[in-house]
Amino acid sequence: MYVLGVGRTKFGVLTETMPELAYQAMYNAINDSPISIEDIGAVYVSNFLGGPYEKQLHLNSVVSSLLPELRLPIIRVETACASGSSALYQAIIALSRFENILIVGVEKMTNASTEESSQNLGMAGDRLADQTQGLIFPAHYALVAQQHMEKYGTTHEDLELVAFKNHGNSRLNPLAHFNHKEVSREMIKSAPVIASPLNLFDCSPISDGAAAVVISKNQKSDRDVRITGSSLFTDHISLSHRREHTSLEAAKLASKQAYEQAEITPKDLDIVEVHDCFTINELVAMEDLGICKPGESKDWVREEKTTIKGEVPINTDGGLKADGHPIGATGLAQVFEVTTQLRGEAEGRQVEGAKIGLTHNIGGVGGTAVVHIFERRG
Amino acid sequence: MVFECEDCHKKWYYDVKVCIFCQGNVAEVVPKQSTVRGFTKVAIPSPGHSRVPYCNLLLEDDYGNFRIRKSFTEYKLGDLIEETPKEQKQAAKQRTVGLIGTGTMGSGIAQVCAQTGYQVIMIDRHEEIARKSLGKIDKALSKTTKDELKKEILGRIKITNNFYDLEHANLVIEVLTEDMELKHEVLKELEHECSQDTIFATNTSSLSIDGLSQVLKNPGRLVGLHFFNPVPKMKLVEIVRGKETSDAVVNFAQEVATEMGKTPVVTGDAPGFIVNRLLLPFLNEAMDKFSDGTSTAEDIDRAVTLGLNHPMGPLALTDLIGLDVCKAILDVLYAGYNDHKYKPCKTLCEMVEKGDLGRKTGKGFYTY
Repeated sequence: MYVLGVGRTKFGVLTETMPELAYQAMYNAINDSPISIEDIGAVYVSNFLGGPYEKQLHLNSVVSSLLPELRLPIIRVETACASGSSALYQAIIALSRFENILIVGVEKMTNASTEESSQNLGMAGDRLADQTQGLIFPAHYALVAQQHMEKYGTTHEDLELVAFKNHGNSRLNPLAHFNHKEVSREMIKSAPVIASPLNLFDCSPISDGAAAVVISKNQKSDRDVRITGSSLFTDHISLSHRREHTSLEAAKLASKQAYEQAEITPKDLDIVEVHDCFTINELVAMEDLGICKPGESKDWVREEKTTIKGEVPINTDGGLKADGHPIGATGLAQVFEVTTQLRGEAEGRQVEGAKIGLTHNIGGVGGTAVVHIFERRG
Repeated sequence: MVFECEDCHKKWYYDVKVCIFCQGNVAEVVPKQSTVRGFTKVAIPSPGHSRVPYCNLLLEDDYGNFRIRKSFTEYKLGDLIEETPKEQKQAAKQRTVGLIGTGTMGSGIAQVCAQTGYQVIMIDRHEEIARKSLGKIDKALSKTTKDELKKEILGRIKITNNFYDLEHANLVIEVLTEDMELKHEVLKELEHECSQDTIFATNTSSLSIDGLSQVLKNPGRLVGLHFFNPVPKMKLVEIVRGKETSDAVVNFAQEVATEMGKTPVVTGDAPGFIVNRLLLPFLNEAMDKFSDGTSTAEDIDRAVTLGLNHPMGPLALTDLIGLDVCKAILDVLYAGYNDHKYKPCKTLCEMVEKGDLGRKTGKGFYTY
């Protein structure tokens, strides 16, 4: 199984409509691949909140409108913030039937007030256990952060280091939401509280955007990147339904399975894209993926081991924090970044000699976890 | 809207710009006319489509492309409908609207005009005050509009203190304080500076259109265009037809109000028009009820919001409007109709005298 092409739009507050964004990403991914749109056998669409935000569902048919007269089998996949990777996971399974599959993820989020956004994003939590109590998403992860701090001595300063690194990386990614923004440690430190202990700079932004990936059963060119692991696990939707609050069990299981499939260990990773919807989740991800031991992620960021020049570069595109988090597109944007890095085409943010990459995409507060592993051939 | 690839002729109903099949340029196809191929009359309202019945037409244009259109006019199968050419669509948007007065209402109207696509000229004798209100519009837009679009909208608003800049305006709306003499002076000046085709409108809520238009050589060109606060949010515009106001001017006012996304209602020139004539006696009654001491302000407001389904209670609303403004309108109604039911109640008069005018002074029926 191979990635033949990747494409995306800029992330941020954009004027394009949801269909226009999806189209741009598909166009770019097809153009990036050695095949044409007529060679595609099926399409998976990933989107989380087209209904609440844009009053647009039945997105598989919208995509059919964007590919006139092809009348392909197209299906929408929704697993909250993990929708992008879940669509890829599903497409990989469907390669048993189709030679080439296109996956496109899109989200249009900036046509709403902050209050509406809080409500819409809250739909990734349990209606009864979380939403009725006003547990907005920053609050979910604030509880995780607080537990992590209590248990391991992680400090807010460690979270600030994650935000600072990711904002720095986004300056090297021209398509990133905050590519234009110079962010200082002081700005991060003094940002307003959203849900203690998390402040504004601990949260990923509300972004519009789309990303697309073309995959195939067979290799078609030297630029193709091999998919060696693909795993999806789920868990109770609410944090309160679980006993463990400083790690995400589904992510641990998904990464374990993906490592087995790829026959690698975390030590083999050259580039990692993790789901830093909130800064704390980058630390939790490092531990869940076995990059470091539980409780040691704070030491890793203090020692700058996850910068582009570090031991295991994480979120070289800026991550959800600074590249942006147009939910349906996010998981596929991670694949875009890993593919670009493994191809050696990441220019200013290139990780030298990157051969093996991993994406870690989370739905809600760990109710869904998807891990993929990619490898450059030769 | 239909878009077609100039090379392979595939069609889209979205502005995709470039063809995913052959990388050709994709351009909009603009039809000249359409034929009604199907219709249905919808009897059930839904959000955004509350006025029923309306028709949904299935139209086929001269390129053989179909589209759905909502219409309040009924058609038969086979009827021809002229499509508005692109240039004309833009022409409607290229109206120039002048605004005299840059307070809350003035800047609200300016914002909505600019958002509609009109060129806006804001006039204040003190340019600085006008600039301040431009800042207010900027701030208001920032909450809902993306930077790029905001820039475009703000780019349509010009600020000046010269009436002769209004020479070619299609419409000039006067949004000054309710002072007959001041408004007379401005109207005379407008008539002197503007072209004969410029239509004049007043946002007055309490002065008579006939009283205002008497200083004009052509009183038929003045119409009442009464917006509600906050202008970007409130859907209603009262169009007030004076005795002399011409039909063409009333039609034009309706057209502009509709283009601005508002719903116009037309009323004759009688004190309070529709809304204030109904609202003020109600507020007056609520204040009277409060002063008899049998209910608290909170309970009166709660009763009205929950029992009558009003979004806001009458005493909170009075505080928001300003007690002085409420009293002034009641005075106009009382004088105009000479009916005791409009007489400002004792509590209102006393509070205005004391200077407790509501939110703006920090104290009214509530403390702020």
